[in-house]
Amino acid sequence: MTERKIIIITSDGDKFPVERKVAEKSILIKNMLKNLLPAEEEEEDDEDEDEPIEVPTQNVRSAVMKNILEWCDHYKDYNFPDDEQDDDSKKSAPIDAWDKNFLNVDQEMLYEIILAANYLNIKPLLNAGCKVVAEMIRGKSPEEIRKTFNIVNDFTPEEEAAIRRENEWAEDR
Amino acid sequence: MSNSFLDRTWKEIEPAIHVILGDEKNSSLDSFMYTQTYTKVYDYCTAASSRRPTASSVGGGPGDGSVRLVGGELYAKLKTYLKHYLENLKQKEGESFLQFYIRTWERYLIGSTRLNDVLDYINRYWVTKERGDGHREIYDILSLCLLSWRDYKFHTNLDILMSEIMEQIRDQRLNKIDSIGNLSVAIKSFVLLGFDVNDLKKQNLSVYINDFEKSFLTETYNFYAEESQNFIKEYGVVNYLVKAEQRIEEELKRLEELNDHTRRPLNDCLNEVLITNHADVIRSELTPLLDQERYSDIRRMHHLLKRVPMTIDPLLQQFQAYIRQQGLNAVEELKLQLEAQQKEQSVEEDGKPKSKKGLAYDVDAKTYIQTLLKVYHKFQNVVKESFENNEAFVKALDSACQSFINYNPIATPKDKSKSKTPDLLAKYADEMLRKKPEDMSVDELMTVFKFIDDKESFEVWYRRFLSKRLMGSTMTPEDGEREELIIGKLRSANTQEYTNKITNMFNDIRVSRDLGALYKETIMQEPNPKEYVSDLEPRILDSGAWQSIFNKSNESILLPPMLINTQEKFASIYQSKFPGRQLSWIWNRSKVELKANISKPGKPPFLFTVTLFQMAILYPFNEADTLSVAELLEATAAPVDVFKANIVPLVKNKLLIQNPPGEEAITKPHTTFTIVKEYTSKRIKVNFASGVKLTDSKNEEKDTNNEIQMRHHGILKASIVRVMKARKHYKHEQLTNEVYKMIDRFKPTVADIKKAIEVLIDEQYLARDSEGTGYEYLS
Repeated sequence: MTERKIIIITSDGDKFPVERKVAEKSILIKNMLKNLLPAEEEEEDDEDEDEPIEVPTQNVRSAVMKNILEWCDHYKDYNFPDDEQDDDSKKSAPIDAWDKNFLNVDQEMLYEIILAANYLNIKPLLNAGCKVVAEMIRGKSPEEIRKTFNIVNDFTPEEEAAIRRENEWAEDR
Repeated sequence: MSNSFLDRTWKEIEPAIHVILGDEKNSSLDSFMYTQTYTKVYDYCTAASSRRPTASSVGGGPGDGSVRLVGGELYAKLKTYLKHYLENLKQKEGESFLQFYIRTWERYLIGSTRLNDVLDYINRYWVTKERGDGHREIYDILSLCLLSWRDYKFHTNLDILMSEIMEQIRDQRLNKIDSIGNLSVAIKSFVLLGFDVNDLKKQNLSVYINDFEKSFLTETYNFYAEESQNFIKEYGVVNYLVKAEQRIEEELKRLEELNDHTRRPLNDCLNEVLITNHADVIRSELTPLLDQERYSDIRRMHHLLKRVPMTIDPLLQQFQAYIRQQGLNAVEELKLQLEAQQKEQSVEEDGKPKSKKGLAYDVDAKTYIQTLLKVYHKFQNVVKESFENNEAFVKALDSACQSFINYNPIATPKDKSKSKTPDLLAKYADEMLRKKPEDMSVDELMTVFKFIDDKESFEVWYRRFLSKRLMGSTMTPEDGEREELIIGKLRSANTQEYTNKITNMFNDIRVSRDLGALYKETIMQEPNPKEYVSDLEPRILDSGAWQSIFNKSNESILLPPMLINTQEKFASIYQSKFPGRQLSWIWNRSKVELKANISKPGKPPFLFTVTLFQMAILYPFNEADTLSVAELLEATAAPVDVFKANIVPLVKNKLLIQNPPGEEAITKPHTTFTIVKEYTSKRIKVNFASGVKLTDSKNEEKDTNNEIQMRHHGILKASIVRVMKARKHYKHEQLTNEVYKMIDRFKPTVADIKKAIEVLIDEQYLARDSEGTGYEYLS
């Protein structure tokens, strides 16, 4: 039995035919297929089978989707453990080398990948993205952080002094 | 946050929710609608969240400064919607409420599962956060759907729903409907409607148990209470056994449709209503069924009752009592038969009925034991056929047999008399060993032996018969093997010690044979061997084991002079071989073979087998043809009754002519006996010894019973001493109890124990204590 084709349609109308197991890295798509496709054993009439199923992803544009699908394809044969309980060890684990390289993109694209991973419910990718962002913050002064993320300081000097006092205990000395 | 955004979002997703849960047209959900609805919810939650800091009015929970996620507004709207949706589901025309419930539930469950995925974004962040913050009244979307069903569809219609379900189950039980299929859908829904608010994933059967199971069990109970009562009344217990079994099977099959939780309560319910409630009536059929030998019906009864173990005990008691009664009846019947035979015989003999005192019949051991065995085997078969050889029933059979085998009209004609079964069993063994009939066997012997209470009694009787067999000296090697086989079985059924004396008796015979050979060797070396009897068959017997032989051993005699050398020679050989042992001579057991030259001329001499006493009587006739009683008594020095017993066969067989004749004259001093000159007999060998009635055989029973009494007494004394040695000081009742438990070879009476204690006090092993309620051990 040939597998039913899946075509992902992006917000800008591009179509990406993908393997089911690649698409199913997205829990959103996986659940949808589970709900909309009849159980495989019952699929007896060949009529529908050739007809691909189209999956619109209204919130992801093609450029981002291309990246996402590259990631999904890379991990298509890997089963991520069920992380119902997100334990601390996983949080503090270093970013996978391939992921790190994969996410070595401009900031704009990085944010879009993170948002898309959240939207499509791809937890390992979402975690990796967030870790990359965290790496960007680690060990930097507020001024450097503002610079990195292009943030305008909107605190008055008084406000800033007050916050410093409140958080003095957390200062690294 | 602007309400218009919320309203707009809800308006956009509501139609899809309707489709997902199921609308009237049963529209289908496509991938576009699916992701669009998901996206709307995503957009609402993310957009609203990012605007959060400015909307201080919707700040976090009271007092906590943590981030508050968005989703609650959609959740609340969904909750309201679900209530509305469920309350407006329409029952189709002609559809029963149950059908309506099942139809809509099946669709709703699918819809709820899908909706849970479509609205996943609310679950993923808002619901998780709320529940993480301890808001147990917030559920994931699927649970919310199920709870709404429970509140607006299930509880509100509980009465009609349950009554329709129960009605359908009832119809099924009455064979009105075949398939239960869709009913199980409804029942399984109850399982999903129970929630553990603290852990939504944990199965919670509260709804299933409280709303369904309870009324199901009540309904079941009531249904079968009525049915079983009517059925028994109409068709009787035997048919009911089949019916109940079948009903239980059906109901247990129903469990497939129910949650497994119901297994136990349903079992309990069925057991009570179908079995326990009717146990008395069912059991009352046991006796008639046994009477009619309907063993497969009994098997059915047992099979049913054993589901409720407590109903088995009374059945066991009933069974045991029945067997015992059957045993007693069989023996009673035998007794009447024997009495009738006896009467007939006495009528034949005398022409008129004789009224003997007490026991008017002789018990044939074989018939008696076989009567007992027949009952045992019959019910052994029942235990196998009807009770699957169940241990408890085997035990009941054994107890019953033990009772009637030891105590029955023949064994114990009077209430307190000592059981005669051990005696009769020993007789049975003797007959079996002597006559070797095919319908008697060692196994049968052992079967009865197992049940005998008084094993000591059996042992004493057994030895008594054994001594006769051994003394008869007709034992072939095969006979010896059979004897050994029985001894081996008795030993393994009891103890080594139990068969010690029996074994010793065989040893005595063996040793005696060796001594006989030694004697022969010795006299051959004598200068004048002719002075001695050459063919001497000595029997050296241990007085403990051969006690029966030693009874009346004081019957003395003047040994014929020609035997004196032999006696002295043998005694000296024995003493030199076993110095220190005391040898006593038991003349009344001795037999002699004589060559008698009183044949007609030209014929070979006769061979007479006579007792030693007869030899002593005949010996003086070598010198004189006629002798008076007075002369003979003087020559033999035999007691008068012994003399009489021995001379009678000589007279009867016409070796001696008595003058004057007649029984009374035998012991008169002036009566004379004359020896015939030419003896006539068809045979060359004549046995005069067998005609001698040993005085002890008349009192055999009394003697043996005395021996048994002594044995019992000895064992009791030994046991009491053993207990007291350990306890030093013991109360009377404790002592009695312990001794009673200790002795397993017979059942001592309280009087027996008391007597043994008295004797021990007299012998100064024990003393009464100062309080007078116990005893002290005196070392």
